[in-house]
Amino acid sequence: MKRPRFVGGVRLLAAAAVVSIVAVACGGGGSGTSSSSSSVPPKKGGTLQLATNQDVFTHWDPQQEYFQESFAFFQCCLLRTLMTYNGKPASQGGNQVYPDLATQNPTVSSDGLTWTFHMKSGLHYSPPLQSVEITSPDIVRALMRIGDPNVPSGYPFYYDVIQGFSDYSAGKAKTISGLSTPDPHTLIVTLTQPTGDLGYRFAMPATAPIPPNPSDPSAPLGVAQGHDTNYGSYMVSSGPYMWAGSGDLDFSKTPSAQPTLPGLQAGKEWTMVRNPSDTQDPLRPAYVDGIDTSVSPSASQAVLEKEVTAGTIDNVIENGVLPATLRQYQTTPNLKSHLFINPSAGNYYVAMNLGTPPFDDIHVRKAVEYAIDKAAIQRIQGGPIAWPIATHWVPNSLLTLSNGVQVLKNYDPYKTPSEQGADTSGGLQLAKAEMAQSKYGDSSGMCTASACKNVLTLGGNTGTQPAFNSEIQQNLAKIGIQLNLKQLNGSAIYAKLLDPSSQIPLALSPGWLQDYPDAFTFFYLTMYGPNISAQANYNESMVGATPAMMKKFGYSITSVPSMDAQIQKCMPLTGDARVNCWADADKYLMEQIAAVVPLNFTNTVNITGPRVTNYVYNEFASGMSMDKIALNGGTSSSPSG
Amino acid sequence: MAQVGTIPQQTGAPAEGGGEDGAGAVVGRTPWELFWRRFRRDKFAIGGAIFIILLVLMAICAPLISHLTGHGPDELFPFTGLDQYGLPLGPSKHFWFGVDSQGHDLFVRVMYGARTSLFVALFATGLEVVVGTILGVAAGFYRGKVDTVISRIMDIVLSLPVLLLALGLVSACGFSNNGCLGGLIKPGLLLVSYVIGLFSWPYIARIVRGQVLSVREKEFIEAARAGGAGDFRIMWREVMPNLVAPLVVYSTLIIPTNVLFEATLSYLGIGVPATTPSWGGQLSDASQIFNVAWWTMFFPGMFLLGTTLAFNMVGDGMRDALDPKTAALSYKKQSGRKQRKRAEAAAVEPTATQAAA
Repeated sequence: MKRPRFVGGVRLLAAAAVVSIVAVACGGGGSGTSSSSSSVPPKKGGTLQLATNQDVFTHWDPQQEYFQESFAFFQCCLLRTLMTYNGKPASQGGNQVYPDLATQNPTVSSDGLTWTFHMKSGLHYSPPLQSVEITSPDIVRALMRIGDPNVPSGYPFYYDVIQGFSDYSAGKAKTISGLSTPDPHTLIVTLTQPTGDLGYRFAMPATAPIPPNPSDPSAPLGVAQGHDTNYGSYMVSSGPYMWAGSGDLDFSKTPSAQPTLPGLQAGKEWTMVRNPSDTQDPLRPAYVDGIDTSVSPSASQAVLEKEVTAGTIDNVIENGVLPATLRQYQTTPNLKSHLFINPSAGNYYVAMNLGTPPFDDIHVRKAVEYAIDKAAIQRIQGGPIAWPIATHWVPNSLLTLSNGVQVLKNYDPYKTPSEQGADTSGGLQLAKAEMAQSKYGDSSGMCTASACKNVLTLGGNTGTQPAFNSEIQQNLAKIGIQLNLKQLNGSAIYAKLLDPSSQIPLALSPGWLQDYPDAFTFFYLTMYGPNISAQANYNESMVGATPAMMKKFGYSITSVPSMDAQIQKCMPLTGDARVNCWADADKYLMEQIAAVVPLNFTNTVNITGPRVTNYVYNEFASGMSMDKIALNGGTSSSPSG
Repeated sequence: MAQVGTIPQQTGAPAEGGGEDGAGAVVGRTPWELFWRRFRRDKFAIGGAIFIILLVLMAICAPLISHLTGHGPDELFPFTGLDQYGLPLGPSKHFWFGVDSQGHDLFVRVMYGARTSLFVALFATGLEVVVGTILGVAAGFYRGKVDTVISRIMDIVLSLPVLLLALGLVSACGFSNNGCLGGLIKPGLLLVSYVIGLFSWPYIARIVRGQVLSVREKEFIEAARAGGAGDFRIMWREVMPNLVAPLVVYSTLIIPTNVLFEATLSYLGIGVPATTPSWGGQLSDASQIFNVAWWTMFFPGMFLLGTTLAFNMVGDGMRDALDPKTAALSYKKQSGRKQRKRAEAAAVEPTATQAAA
């Protein structure tokens, strides 16, 4: 869900912004805190009170939103999709998809190119469309909106494996030829290439059904017609909850004259109430009667966390808590039961640009892999709970076989004593041995070439980031690489990184988070050559760039390593073969390319107020499962729907 | 006023004239001696001066202090300075002032912060004094159109929202690699000093202009002019010496303002670069964490407070010492204790003219 972020100031990923303050989404793999609170059987009723100081969900448009928090709201509460998750941790099946609007898992043809979904009948939308049944053309409508050139869609690249999708999004066709609906409860998807993870892609909120407009049945995008950039304010719900006042929507008017959802007040409050059309979906128990989120962009995180401790709010929407709060919850017995730490499938890393000296030499890159003191960075970023050290690229939860074995759990190709890199003599020796083999290094293992002087480097400028940057700067100085460090805020850094012609040699802390629980999401945008683009490039290292691309972006070095073949090999596979294939791709990236230094795998740390009784961690959304939360007693404030 | 006039006459003569040599051996004191005799009686000013001297020594010796503690100013202590949650540890025998939120030795950082604060304050003040004096003298001496133009410029600069402009200028020139104006203004200490200096010179210029306006009417100026002296000679040789006292006093008083201004800019994140230790930056960092790490706010805060207080006390003392008229005029408003002190001071220190007469 989610795009890259910087340690600290995130641009695209809402949650990540919190990181800046210090402790990334984090929490500790090794900590004993459970993923769900053991408690009395959950009671129904009450209104969950949430708060956030990040008003980034300005669209709430299911096809546009690409933030983990919005994925959480959509998945738990507002939107049903053909397939979905159970909203639980990975250990309880949270990384599998289950039939949601579909009656069963899709049937796949032997060549892997035709997928057939059968849909449940008798499911209806929220008011005012409570009499409209959810049918297969509604899913087609959603996919058309994903591919619509006028809609700033969040992740259309996941669907261009569907036959005719590219033509449709290029405006060359009126429909998507690979989608057919022989009857209202069947959807047949024809692909251009076998795609083992298509089930996950049909669990993304963007594929949730869009109802037809009863007043204008011919509108190709149904009720979303005419709302290319703002359907969020007119969205009809299919889940157990809906935005308050959904019944006030009036699709008989022209799009610009339609009233917006009263429950969505940008920058102030988002209010969800029960959807009367809901039919007790077994995957979403929906204990609370409503979910209120107060949005106060200027509120300090520390103050919001204090309110959680005091019980005036139940949870802050964020994927990290401040270190001081974490320490308080870890060390205070009656608070500890309201602290939840779960691994979330994300990482932070150092990106070296293969097209800029001295990082065009693999020995220099390997020297950097050895030199960085990951243990010191861990301390600076909030310790092992906040920052579990990573020794390879893909988070272990995505490289887990069906028998539960994590393939690369003990894989550490650049092991140094206590992970302290060049801050130990052993680590420094390893780093220098690599540097000595490079064309830029001398025989003592120091980089003496001018390419190692004044290496332009981007790092964050808030929270612990200056210390983080300075640690890496000191590590690399030990092998003769001198950084010209520019400390900027997260969005300024991304503005530079998204454009490959900026030719930034070193970026200290970009991050990546899974879109869905498959390692594909860790390679496709970040390491796959064909996806390097001028406007939105997430491949900071330029892995797989063709000489033509390198030339186009002004690089003097035009030949860089690629792992496209390794990625393509895994794409059609399924099951354990797929997992093993991605693990091999990870090893290839670490050993043969060494373009990134993985620093950590993220954890999600959450605290809840005293009346929250049934915390369940939603692996898919890397956060709290709001449909499974229950509240103690009758202390709930009045529902505001 | 009556009191003031009488006391020196009653007790001054014996104290002054009744020296070892008796009558006839009355020696005129140099202005410096007079200044020093008055100044040293002001305990607060002396205290402030001692503090400033120590501070300057500290700033100069910061690398030495860093060497003695074995802790570099940019060195991080993730394992000895941060706890397992990444939170800084408090004062201890290894870290006298504790550790800051990043993991630096706060003691060493505060010492280096003194360098930043003093450099910016002194440089900016110097800039202000130079620009303010030149323009103030020109306006006061030439009057007429020159005065009108300069005075209006001063009015404009004074009416600018300085902090907002500083925010804008520092953000525009501070974040890009090449700075502004084709690389003329580059981010860093100098930019901050320029910003402070160039927005504050009218305060000095106004005072200077006022002084010059009155001085230029004095007989000795007329005499100089009659003797054939040119404008520049008159300004430099006749007018300037009369400006030294107010300039010294006023500069001392604007130094603390500039220290605070630098701290404010750094607090807002637009002052010196984040990696350069500065008290304002340290206070800004502390604001995130002071509820669990009081020392991060306490030590830089105390040094900032001490420095501004010290400069203010010294400035105050210098004003009293350099300008007996100010002291006399403000008598009625002074507290009893201070009145006595002044009276005593006046009693034993007739001015040079009195003594000579």
